[in-house]
Amino acid sequence: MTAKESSGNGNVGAVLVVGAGIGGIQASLDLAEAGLKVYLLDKSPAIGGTMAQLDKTFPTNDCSMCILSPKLVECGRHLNIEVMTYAELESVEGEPGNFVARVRQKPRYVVVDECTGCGDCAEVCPIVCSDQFNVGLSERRAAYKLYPQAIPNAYVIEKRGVAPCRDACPTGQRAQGYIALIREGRYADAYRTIKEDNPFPAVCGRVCNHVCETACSRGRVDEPISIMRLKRFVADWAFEHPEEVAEAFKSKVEVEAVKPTGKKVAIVGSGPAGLTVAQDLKLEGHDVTVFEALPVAGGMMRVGIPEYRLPADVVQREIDEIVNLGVELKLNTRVDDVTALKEEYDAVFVGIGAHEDVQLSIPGIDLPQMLSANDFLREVNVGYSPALMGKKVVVLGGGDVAMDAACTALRIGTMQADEQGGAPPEVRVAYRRTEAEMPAQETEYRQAMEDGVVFDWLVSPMEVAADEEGNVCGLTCCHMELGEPDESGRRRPVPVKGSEFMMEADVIVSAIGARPNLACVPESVARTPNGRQIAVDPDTLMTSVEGVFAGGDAVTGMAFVVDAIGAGHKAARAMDAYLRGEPMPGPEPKLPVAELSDEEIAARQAAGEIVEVSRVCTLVEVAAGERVHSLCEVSGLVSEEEAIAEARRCLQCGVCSECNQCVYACQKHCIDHTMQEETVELNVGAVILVPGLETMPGDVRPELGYGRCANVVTSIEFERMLSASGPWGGVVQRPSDGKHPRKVAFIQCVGSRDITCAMRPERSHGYCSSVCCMYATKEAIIAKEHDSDIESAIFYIDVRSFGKGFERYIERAEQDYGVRYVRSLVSMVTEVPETGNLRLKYATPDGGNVEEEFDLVVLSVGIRPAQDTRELAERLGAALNEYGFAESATLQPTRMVRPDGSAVDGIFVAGAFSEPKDIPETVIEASCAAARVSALLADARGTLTRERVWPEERDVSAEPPRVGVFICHCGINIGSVVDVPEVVEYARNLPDVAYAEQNLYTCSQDTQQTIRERIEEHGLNRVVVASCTPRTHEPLFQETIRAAGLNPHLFQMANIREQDSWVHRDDPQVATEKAKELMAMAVAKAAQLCPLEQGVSEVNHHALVIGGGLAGMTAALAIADQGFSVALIEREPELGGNLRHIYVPLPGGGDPQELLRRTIEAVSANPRVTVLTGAQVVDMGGYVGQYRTTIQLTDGQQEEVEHGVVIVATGAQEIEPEEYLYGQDPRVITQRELEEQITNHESRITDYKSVVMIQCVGSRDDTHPYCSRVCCTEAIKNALAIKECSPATDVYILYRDIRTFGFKERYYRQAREKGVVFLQWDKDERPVVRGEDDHLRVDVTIQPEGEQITLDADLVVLSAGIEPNADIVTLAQVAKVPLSEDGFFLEAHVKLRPLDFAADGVYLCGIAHSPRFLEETIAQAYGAAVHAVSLLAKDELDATSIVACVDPLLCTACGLCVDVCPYGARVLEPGAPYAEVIEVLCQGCGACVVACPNKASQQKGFGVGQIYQMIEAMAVTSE
Amino acid sequence: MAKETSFTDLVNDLSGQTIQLCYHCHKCTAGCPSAFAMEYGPDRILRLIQLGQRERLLSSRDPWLCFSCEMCGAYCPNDIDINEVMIALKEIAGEEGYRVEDCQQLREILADYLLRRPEAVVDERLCEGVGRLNNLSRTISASHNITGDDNSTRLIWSQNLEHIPPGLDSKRGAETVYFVGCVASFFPRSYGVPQAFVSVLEAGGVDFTTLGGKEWCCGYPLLSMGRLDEAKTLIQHNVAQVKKLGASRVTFACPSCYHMWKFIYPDVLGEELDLEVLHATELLAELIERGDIKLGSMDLRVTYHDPCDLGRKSGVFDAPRQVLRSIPGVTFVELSSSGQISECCGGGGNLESFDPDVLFEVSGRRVDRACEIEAEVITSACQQCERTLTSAVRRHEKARQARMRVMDVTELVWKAIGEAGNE
Repeated sequence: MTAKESSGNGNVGAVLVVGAGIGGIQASLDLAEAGLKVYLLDKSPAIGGTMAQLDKTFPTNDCSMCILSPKLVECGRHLNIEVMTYAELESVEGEPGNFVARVRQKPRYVVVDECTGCGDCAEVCPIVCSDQFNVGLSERRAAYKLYPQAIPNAYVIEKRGVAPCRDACPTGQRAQGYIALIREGRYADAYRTIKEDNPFPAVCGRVCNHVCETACSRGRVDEPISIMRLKRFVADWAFEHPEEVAEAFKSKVEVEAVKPTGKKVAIVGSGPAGLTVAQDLKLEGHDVTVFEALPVAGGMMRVGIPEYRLPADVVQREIDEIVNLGVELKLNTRVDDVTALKEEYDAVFVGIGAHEDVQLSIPGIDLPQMLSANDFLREVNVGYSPALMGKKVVVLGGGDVAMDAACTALRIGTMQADEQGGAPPEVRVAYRRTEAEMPAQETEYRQAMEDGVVFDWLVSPMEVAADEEGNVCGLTCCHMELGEPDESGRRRPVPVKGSEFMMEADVIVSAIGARPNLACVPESVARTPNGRQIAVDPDTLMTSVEGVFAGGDAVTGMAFVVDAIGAGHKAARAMDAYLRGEPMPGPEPKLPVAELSDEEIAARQAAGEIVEVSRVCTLVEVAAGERVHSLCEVSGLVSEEEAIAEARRCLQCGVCSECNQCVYACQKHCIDHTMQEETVELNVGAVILVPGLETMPGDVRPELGYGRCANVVTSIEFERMLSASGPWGGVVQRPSDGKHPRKVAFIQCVGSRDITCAMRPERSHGYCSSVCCMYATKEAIIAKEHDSDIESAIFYIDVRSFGKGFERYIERAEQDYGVRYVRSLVSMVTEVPETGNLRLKYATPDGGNVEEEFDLVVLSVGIRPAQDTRELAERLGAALNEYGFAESATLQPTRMVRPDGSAVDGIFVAGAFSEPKDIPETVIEASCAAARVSALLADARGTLTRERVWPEERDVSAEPPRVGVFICHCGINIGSVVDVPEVVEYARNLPDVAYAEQNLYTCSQDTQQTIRERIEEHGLNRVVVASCTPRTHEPLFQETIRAAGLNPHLFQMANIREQDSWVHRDDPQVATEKAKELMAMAVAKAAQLCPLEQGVSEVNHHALVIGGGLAGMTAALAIADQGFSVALIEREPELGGNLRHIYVPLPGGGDPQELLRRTIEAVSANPRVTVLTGAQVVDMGGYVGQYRTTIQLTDGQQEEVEHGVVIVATGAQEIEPEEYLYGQDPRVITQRELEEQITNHESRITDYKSVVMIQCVGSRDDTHPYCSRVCCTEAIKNALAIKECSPATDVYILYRDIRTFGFKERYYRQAREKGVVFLQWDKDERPVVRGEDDHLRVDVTIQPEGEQITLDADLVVLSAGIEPNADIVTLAQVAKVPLSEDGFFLEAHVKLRPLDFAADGVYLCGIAHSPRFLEETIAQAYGAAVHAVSLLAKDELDATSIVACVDPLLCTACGLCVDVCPYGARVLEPGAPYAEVIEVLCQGCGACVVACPNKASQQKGFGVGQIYQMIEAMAVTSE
Repeated sequence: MAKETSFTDLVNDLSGQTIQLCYHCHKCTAGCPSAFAMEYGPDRILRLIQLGQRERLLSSRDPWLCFSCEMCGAYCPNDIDINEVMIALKEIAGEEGYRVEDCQQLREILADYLLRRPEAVVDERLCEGVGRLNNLSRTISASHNITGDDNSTRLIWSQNLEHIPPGLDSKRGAETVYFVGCVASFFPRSYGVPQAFVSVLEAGGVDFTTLGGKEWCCGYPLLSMGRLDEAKTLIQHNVAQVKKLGASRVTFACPSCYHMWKFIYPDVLGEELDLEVLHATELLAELIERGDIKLGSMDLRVTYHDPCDLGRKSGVFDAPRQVLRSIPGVTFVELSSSGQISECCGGGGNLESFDPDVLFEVSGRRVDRACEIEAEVITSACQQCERTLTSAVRRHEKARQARMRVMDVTELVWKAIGEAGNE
């Protein structure tokens, strides 16, 4: 996967973008358009980031998903962007220009390129998880798609690892999986899941040692799940419901047609091991013969376990299922030499069990009433019972077999007594150790006790005594005591001297162990070191003789059924490989076990997710007194209710448990549970880190009630609650009771501007999160729009509406939506116990406090980089600031910094990872980083990108329409509702249809091939696909037909999913009829389709930048660095703009004057930049790629520049104050003037005893109803500078809201620390400056108390705002670009296109856009530059084909179209007879078509005739 | 107006805070239980300090209305502990001559301040309140307790115990010293607490004693009124007495004494005490955990009010809850504001002396909270809370009708031990 190509000097033309939120997406698109190959990485399974979770965006209330989705699709489909989801960056090594990045690709368990996103897997998945996309407010399945519009449109399966129950089981039983299916009442599916691993569920549901339960995590909460009993429930249910089971297995039969291999396998022994091998190998297509010496099959299951524990018919029915697969079973057939079978068979499996009893070595063991347990049990099981009525039976041993023998003897004797009217037997168990050492299972021992078996501990037999007739009459025993531990760890029993005694006995059963009878295994087969069992290879179970395998008790000695089954599977895998001649399997990989940590369990308990309850499936047994009278089964059934309730207790440790339901359901076969994590190496020239943010946890301030009160939610939760795709479909309701809230409170600064965050001291959150004031306002507005009864209050410290259009938004919220802004943080939220309402305590202006009740509280939680993001950054050597954000170099946005302070090349940081920021600022920074990369890799541009090559287009103009129709089942999405075959039949008969077919998934890769073939075979010249939405899929199908030589516009789509099967799910007939109508309409339009031509225009590779301030100079340099020439126009005689007046640096920030000098020098030195000062733009003509601009110089001469793109960076100006005695009293100055004083006249500053600064001069008032963004920080900066040079000077800042967003909050804090006094005033009570001889006096009414005080001041400094330049209107007219309400330039889209004008080829940056800081301006300039370059890098531009056209005969030259066109694409030359379209500018919006009264303007591809045909088709069908 | 930077510096110095960090989010005021009674409220006091309004502040009752509950400090995003600021202001007042013999002198000082503010008049309530506090301080230095009773009668509550534990008074070599505190020793209504606690200690086999008549006031009231300097003798005396008996740990049923010993004593003495300092509830939790005492069943719906000095100010939240939860039959319910955000009962600071009306208002709110969760018993782990809440319940109609009871955790435990005996 490593791309090794690179440019001449070693730069690789590829970039890794880490984080696929809106920032990563923007950077990727910019880079790919600029000719670089992009790998776009995200740790989540889909791209989109936080923006995808948002409902609406401020300040326009655009739907977040609606504006994001086209970008997602563009990214997902871009030829030169490789989206890598569910992947994380491990490390980056190498040099700038040539890095190797190691990426960890997590297993998705779904083949992403194959998945069509149909959702069938999620439909059947039984695992319910909390949906983190909905912040845990709703649930999803373990198989899921992150969100409906996710790109890639593919599912993913969440899996933590192997559940402990499965890990413990020798058969690898997917217990968690079938338990989940039981919980859903899907018993047949559960049965199928069980059978994946275990051919004997009914057996193991009764007699297992259930190590799964020992391992079960639930045991750490209360009691383990009764897994064994659940298994029995399913197995018994399955037996009762054969038809349902057959139905559940149906898909399997269809899928797996087993191909016979012709290989023959002999299996010796029909126990669980042998039969498991038989089943597995038969299913692989081998011929299998099983040899069994006894008259019955089943081995120990059948003859070793008594009927009352495991009924014979239960065993038999599971054996029958295997035999019925076509396995040949030869009963009563003893094999004398297992190796001899090799002559006839290709492989042999020896599963002969351990049926031979270990004999006591004491005198008298050969007496007739001396029985061995296995013989005894076998005899009884095949129908021969010794006479035991009234007998004294002694069983020797303490294991399960001893218990079985004792209880069986008791039953046999009792039944005989019942029948013959005698006494029942007396049965004792003699064991040489104590109760504690007994190996028998607890249940078996207890049952034996209950049945009346008497136990003698610490007793060992010494001799069997016989009477004179040679019958047993007793047993001489001795007492034992426990000595030192032996090798088994148990204390060794030692005889007590002289303790001999006689135990009465008529019959003695010895149950001291069993071993395999290896008579049929020749010596050539190696034995285990003790000589008692067969030795095998641990991985393959092959014996020392090739082709002869062995497993089960014959290899391990006496063990459990599951052990034998496990061995059977293992042997079968190896034997299959052996038979096929494939390499033999090695050791099985040890998969990670999903152990829940104690913390996780505690957290889930705390969240109420786990509530302690004991086992529901309690053991039901036939009463002790009753059961000894028969051999009927002791343990009873589990009821369905009990089973479901028990299944609910499962903690789902592994999340996905591989129950395989998804595998059965996926008709594309793209689920692969064997996927493993892999590491991929990428060779890239640069890396951009845009990993985004996480929101602060709601309980960061415990007093605010999150987690304690159900109706306190975080803002991101509320965002999902508002979203139509959220947990409640956009209905605003309370989590506790679903009630519609009437009063909603928003509490600001939760985890922001807070250096304590009391309970989480790991990091100070002393910064402002920048976005919360605005998103809270937005949420309040949207909530009101959802439900007009909602009244919102926002509790805040300072309202920070510092961005473009924000101030107006707040005003609208207050005036139009009644949002109440309360200037007090809330001290405490408590719940009213009865109602779940919330009491908020907050301060009143008089210094007291009140309590107010609300229905719902939303915490405006701050944002921070996620923990794993910080770890990644540290791995990559990035410096993090005290808050854990990535540092960037001073005045060099996006340039990463090492901990030693040195700037890094080649790795860049952008977005909320470097400082909390809003979407447009993120997009700007992403573009800025892209510009830096584009410059770094300028010489490698185009070396790794691909371009699509299309075959020549077929001319169809002379052909009559031949429409091909492809109708999609979409798995079951459409097919289960709409009768697709019927629609196909219908389509076939529509006029002009030459061909129609149905596809399982029309969008899948193989169907694209099919469509191309059908076009060829049937000479199709129009294609209609009836499936889902054209929004995501139309481009794919257009490409498909284009590859078959058709013009892409000869394609039409009908949406029979979203518009039909999904909405009419309950009425298939209606849905089918509607599908036909949609079909008919699409075909009718298709017949009318004409090929559309793609217009192209040449690109002039020269750029023009208007404005020689910081923005313009930076943009010009950035373009030049990326390899293109620029003309830079400045109307003043010298470069520099406003930067010339900025002197004072921010604390620790860069020197503005130094920046000015450096930038001017770089501009002058750059050969690609031509500077024209004293020059003004007087005219601009042409269009994107081909502009012609006339410039007037100071001497009146005019010059013309030809260029492909233009960047507008004309800046803005400081407002000249008209109030506060400015201009009348020399002691009143502006901040700008103060800066000059501080820098050049420091001595004057030290003379001031008191300086008063007044904020919002010319901002946030009637003439300038916007915030100038920078003034608070500027004032604080200058106040700090005063304090620095003159600590004794008192500085007062009179403010309305302090808006030091992001890390600027630091300066605010520093200023307070230094003693700068901040006093707040209200809009309605402005401060008054009075000029007196000695002093200035400033009267200010302090808020909230409303107390008026008077300050003496030697100097009053006005923080004057920023306003557009006076000539901006003229320039806007010349450049044909729009202005905002406030008179600044208006970008194409405030959120996602902040640097572009709506018209292509024109970009903007700097404070001509809106007021901003130096580094923000720099980022913008870079961003605008890379947008310009992505155009300059092309030789020609493709115009959209769907453009407007004009019928000259109908046009009356009224000019309406020209007025409505937002792109300047409609022109009407003076005196021209009709209006025209400049196709390269037309964006196909259709506005002119709608405006045209004569229908002279038409949209290509949506002609009036075409639309009429569609309507007609529908009308015909409807009749 | 010219700002007086030095006043800010002075307050900062005395309080150890940086008051000018306040950005007036008003959260402290929003949470302050006595803000309703204040002239300015907490965050505005910070502003007045910054504006150098020294005399205005010193002529206001606000600093004296502080309950020292530290709710303000628990919330402050800038980590300013306003309780310390209030103490500093009281300390400054003391320096200014507020520690005077009679109120008339105080009136004169105040009148002098107010010369510059013609609209203001001398606040009589301030004079009277401060006068009462001055008396209290005098009482403490004279009698070494807050009531002025004969200090040798400190163990009077033990007289009506059915069985007086042997070694109760100054037993040398006892492992644990139970520091009883003034309220429990001299207020008959609180006798139940030490009575129950010593009985439990004995039942649990703890080797303990008390300082008897040699116990002096812990100094807490002086700390609250900004006169920690006067408490030094008391502190030295108490520590010396405990050491003299050779004990290795001190235990308290009073959270204020406990807070003093645990956090203030080492500070004042400038060294670690080298003693284990345990609150009664911590000790009880230990005894229960070890199985040293056996609790019988009581069918009760019980809530717990966190004393400010024990919970928020000393960080002991779990022990009392652990104790209550381990009593069989008890249904434990939390107040809607509990733990870290538990509101003051009204008994904090020296409000009981300074202005009982404010206390009544605040304690009533606490009982409201208990009513809404239908608690049958409000427990606390502080005899001051118990006294305050008991009288609040008496004044609270709903609570009175519901026959709500107020008990100390030690009393409930002793009752549960009794139940175990009956079983």
